[in-house]
Amino acid sequence: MSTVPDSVPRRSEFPACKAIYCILPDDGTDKRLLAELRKKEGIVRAGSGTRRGIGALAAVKTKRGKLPESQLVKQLYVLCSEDQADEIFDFIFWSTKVDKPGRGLMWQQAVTGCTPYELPADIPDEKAGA
Amino acid sequence: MSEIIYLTDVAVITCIVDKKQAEAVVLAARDVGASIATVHTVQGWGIRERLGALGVAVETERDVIELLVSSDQQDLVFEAIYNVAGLDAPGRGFIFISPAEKAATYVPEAVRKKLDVNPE
Repeated sequence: MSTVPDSVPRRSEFPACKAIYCILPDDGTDKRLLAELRKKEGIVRAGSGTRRGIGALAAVKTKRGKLPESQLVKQLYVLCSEDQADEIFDFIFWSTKVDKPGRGLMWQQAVTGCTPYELPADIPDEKAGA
Repeated sequence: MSEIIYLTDVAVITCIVDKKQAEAVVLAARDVGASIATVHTVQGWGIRERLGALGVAVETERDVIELLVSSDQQDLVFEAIYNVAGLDAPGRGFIFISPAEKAATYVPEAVRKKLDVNPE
């Protein structure tokens, strides 16, 4: 017998979805992409954070046994439905030019369940460049 | 128009270790073939709080390392970082591996030519 009240939604009500992660250079691509995803694809379950990126095979001089200096990078995450995932993946790929050297990388993972999310309607959007 | 080269059979290894151990972990992973890593520091509590001298919980800092590796390499990388981070001792940290469905990044010209995909 479940101890959870009936008013609480069950995990099974939240469908499986996909998570797309993207490591991008710290040049504002992440903010631009988040705005484009919201405008063109209606994606709001997304965000970005700062990481230290280490390309261990980067063509730079280092002391033997040492890693190259890490770079500030942005890691972007996007949650989307399974139906949308392939389209969103390709959109991010072309939009961020990940196929060019030094532009980062991206990958997609399955997520067994995720809750819906909406932005509050009564809060204005920040202005571009803020 | 060129086409996307999807990399499949990829795994994401996430390793949470004591702060300042990240370099050793990434070096160990690189030595067995991993080429991409990101590191970030997190601050907070684990499942059990560590109490300081005054009985106040102490926030600890940990490094979180994420490595993207091919599925073939995942066991090798896992074992290498497990050993270097000393994860057999209690409280040192932990690793988890999750499969990635596909990945994409820059693929060098030589590889594209070999695959006969998007040659310049």
